[in-house]
Amino acid sequence: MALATFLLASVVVSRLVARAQRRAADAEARRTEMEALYDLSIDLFAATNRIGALGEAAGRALRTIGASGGGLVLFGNGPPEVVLSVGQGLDTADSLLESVGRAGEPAEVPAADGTRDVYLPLAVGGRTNGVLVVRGTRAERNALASVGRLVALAVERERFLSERAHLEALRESDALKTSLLRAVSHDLRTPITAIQLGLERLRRTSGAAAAADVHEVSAETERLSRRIDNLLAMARLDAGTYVPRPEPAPPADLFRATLEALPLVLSGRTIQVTVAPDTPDALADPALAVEILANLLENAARAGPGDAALELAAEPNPSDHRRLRLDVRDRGAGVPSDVKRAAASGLSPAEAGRAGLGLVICSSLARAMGGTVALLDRPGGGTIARLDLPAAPEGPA
Amino acid sequence: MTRALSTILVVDDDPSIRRGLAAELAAAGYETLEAVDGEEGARLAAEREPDLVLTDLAMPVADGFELIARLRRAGRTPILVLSVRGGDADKIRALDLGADDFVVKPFSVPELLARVRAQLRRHADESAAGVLAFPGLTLDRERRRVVVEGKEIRLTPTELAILELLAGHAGKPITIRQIIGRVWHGAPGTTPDAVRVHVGSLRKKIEPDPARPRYIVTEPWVGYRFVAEPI
Repeated sequence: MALATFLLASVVVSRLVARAQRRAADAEARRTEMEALYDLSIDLFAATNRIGALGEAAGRALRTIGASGGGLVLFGNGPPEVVLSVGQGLDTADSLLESVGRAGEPAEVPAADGTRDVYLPLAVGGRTNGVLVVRGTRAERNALASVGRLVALAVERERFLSERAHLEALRESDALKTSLLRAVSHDLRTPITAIQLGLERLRRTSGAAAAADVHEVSAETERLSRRIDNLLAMARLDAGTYVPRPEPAPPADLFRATLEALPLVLSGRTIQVTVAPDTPDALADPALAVEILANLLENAARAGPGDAALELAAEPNPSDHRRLRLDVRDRGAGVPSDVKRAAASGLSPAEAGRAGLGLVICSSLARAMGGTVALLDRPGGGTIARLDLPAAPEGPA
Repeated sequence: MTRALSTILVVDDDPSIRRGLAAELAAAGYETLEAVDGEEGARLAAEREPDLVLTDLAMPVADGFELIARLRRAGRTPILVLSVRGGDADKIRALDLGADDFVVKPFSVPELLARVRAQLRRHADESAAGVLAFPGLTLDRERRRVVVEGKEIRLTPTELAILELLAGHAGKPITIRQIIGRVWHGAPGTTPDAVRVHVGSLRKKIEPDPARPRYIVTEPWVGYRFVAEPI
């Protein structure tokens, strides 16, 4: 009995010891796993802050869990992308990749030597971005799941980084556009300024005989300079490097700035400026508004007989008290027939040829600040070029 | 003006513009000095004490802003800036640093000469007495009276302060920030809109024809300029 008891006890003790030893070994294995996972997580998040390091990180993940091979495949908008394939790697034709990716559940394929191939879906926020294939592993399911989660986060992080890099590239290209436009603007205006200075010197030294020629060249230079301003304004708006800044702008100030912009083209012309009573201030980007008015006024100066007065007139819009009209009126031949024909047949003014181009530029500059431009036949002959703009809200009295 | 012949320092890195400007200024009767950048400009300004400095903003070595800052530390020499169209932020920065006026490239020579004359004259009579007189408008700073076309006009204290500031610097663009600083003493919460409202009502009281402002004009984004010439 004593012997039996002893035997039983020894068996129990040895089992207990064996269990304790197994537990200690398990604990040791867990500890090793945990350390490996910890190292892996540091590798993934601290060391891989450069785009493209994802493949290396996945390779480290496979080594950490003692895999004999495997790989990483990512699902994007296009075909699956193999980021890593080592040892007996992976094949995009493997149907398990697709089914694991679709189901978002891991799959296991046992091998004869007691190891197994594991397909781990990489999911963050319910969406499966890829599959990590671990071949010939003996690692615990939990450890594998942890590795899968870590790699999934690394994939997500990489996506985020590359998106951010893309955004930064976009921002940089905006900055590039801005500095390019600045350079173009400087490079075009510097020679024009130099030409104007040269013409002034010529006017001063060449005497009366050449005066008319010098004046003509000067006026053409002024026109060229306006064209460049127009095109640069368009380019800036298109490139998004110029955002219109509307502010309350009294019509009289806009008219004055317009007249100052065209001293040579308008020299010798009579200009009548009227602002009807109760005309509100415009809510407009002054630079764009002046650009448009100068363009319209230059056309008017060219259209009309030289001795007829040109008119700049501001009035409230009779059908909408929150808008106003700025008119440029001439006594020329009226709205060009090609512009009319184009409008009648539903074509854009751009398709109306040369006469339409200035109108297209004016219209798109006006649109950028909630305005419109229209050409109308003027009663009694001539054209009314009309810039219609929103009015500034009335300030406190 | 203290000298019979005023000296103007031209600072621009582009040789054809620099020489062209110097030639036109010389033809208009000024003595000229030329510098290729802000560095040389500051040195020449210190050595030769010009009556006015005409400077470009974008220059490779010591740009126009740096030159303005250095000149303002040294004194009150009038500074006229050459700016490009669309460069509003540059204009405001230059004015806030202490530049007196700007011309936009490409500019006409008569316009430039008019600005130069205005600055030289303004600088000469800046210490003027209490009464500012313009065609059709007088402002008696001591008695705080404004007379337009022979009729006394009643202005609110704010309107009067704005008029004093603008008319006291006739010909010089004054930025919104400068107005807030001088009239409201930089009181927090003073907005550009508040300035516009007060200037708007001031203009209604003193401008005889709203379609053709005679005294106060808007410099888009920058601020305002009193354009009438003192008598």
